[in-house]
Amino acid sequence: MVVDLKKIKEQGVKAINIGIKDFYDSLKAQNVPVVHVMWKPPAGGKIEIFKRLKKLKFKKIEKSL
Amino acid sequence: MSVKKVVVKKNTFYDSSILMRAASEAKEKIEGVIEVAALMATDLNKKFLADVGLLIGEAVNATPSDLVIVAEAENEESANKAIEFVEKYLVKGVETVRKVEEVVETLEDALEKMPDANIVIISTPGEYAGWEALKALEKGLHVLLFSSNVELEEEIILKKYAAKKGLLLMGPDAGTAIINGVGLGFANVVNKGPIGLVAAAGTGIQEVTSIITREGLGTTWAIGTGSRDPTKDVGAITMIEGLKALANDDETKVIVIVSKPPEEEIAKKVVDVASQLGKPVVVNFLGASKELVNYIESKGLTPALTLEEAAYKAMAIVKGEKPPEKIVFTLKKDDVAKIVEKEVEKLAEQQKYVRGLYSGGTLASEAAYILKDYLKPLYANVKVKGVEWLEDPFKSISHSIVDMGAEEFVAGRLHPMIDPTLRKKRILEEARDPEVAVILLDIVLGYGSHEDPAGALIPEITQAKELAEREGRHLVFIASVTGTDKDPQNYSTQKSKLEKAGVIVMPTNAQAARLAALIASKDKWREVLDKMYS
Repeated sequence: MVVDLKKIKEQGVKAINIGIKDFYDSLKAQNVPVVHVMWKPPAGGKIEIFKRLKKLKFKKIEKSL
Repeated sequence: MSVKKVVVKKNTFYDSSILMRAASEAKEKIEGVIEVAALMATDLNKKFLADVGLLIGEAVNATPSDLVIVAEAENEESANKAIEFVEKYLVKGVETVRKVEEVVETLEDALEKMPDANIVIISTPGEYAGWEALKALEKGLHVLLFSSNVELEEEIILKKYAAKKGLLLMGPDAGTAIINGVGLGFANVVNKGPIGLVAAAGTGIQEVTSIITREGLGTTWAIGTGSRDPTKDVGAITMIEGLKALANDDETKVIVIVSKPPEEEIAKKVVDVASQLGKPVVVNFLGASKELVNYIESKGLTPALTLEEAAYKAMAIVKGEKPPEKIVFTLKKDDVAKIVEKEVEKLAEQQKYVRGLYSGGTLASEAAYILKDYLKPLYANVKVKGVEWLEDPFKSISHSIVDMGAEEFVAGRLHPMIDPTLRKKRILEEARDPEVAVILLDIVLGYGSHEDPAGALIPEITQAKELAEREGRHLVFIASVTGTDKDPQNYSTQKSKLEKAGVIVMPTNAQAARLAALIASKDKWREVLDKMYS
């Protein structure tokens, strides 16, 4: 399916910023509606558990393609 | 004997930007401090700490969700003070963020707050970024994936999934995009207008869109694909989806593609798709072979050899004019000759080399691509055909172009577009080399960049010139400014600051590189100038 740029144009950019806060600040300065996610590593920071979860999820999506 | 101190905070996360700022300020403000690092203990960051001899004590066994603060100082008191400074800086930083109304903890919470959100910008550490991007795509959101170090397999799945859902997946490693006139990531404030871009090159987008705005036209969209997109593995999925989207956009009259030359198979695939869009397309595969250029032409598209040429050719097509064959200088040839003559006269006998100190990777590649025809041997830490590889980018040899945003410079540090510290030092180092004639610089403006990038370098530029003069040499500084008058730093103000400091400011990076080649050609400059125009 081709990306519908017209739809974004009609809605205007409404952004969610996950990570570095500078990007939130620059959107605010451009008067763009934006919500900032003060991100933390998921799975309580346990990287091995997270990696397993991530792998499963990506496999599932890959199968659906 | 220096003292090293380390503090590890278990399960404590801060983003890299605030951590690096904290470390950078501690180093600057506290006396007796040699080095400070504040990092999440990812494998990559631990390698950086090991490289600088600071992977010590508890840091050795820290995990990616742990914060490590390390300080090396001349004495214990300074080391302790540095660590305390970083801790306080981080606490204060978080308090400031929490005061902002629109702050939440997860993507789900963000969507509750803004149910009609349509795009997500992700800049988490790479190992988590793919996961966040996948969640966003599942929820029907377009994504700008700023993070690098996302696994290749994840990138491919994300891109195929996005294409299936009709969503943009820009990146990973996409620093810039312009979406409906809004700059995301590092972006300049540009005019809206009829030219759309798809690019695998961050500062490439910035240079092209800035030139277009300064010349009075504008940009509809600039879709960043990420550097790995136009490879055989990924198959240019985002580039091709981006081209199709721009083809359907009524306001985009001309499309510009910017990338390093992809492998032949992918380059031809992109060109074939572009030739079916029913719109004029300008293709800048920086450093493309003659064969590829011919292929682009044979498909009815317009090849451009530099970023500058891509901008000018696209603008000519918009205006219904014949695209210029090539751009050499936008100033008159005689005026260029006058500048060169004046500078060459002042050079001492041993001065002959150009040293390019770049903050923008694509700008460094463009400079190397231009200089290689005139200056030999030319070394660079960016891959350009016909240019020698600069083994140690911390030490220039002969003519050198250094991308100071390359991984070896930014591991554990802020990008030189944000933090000029390393470039300031390097300017002075180059100035001490009696064989250096020209120092070539890029000044990149826009959101995300340093608040006064020209002003930040001026003390060292002045010092460098004085240093050379004391030793009977004349050091030439040439720069170009990537940006517009609408940028927070203001193009005209930045340009005039540089000029007051004796820097020759050229209209584009390509022209700055050409002028550098002319001046370093010394008594042969007239021949070189004629060659450029032939």
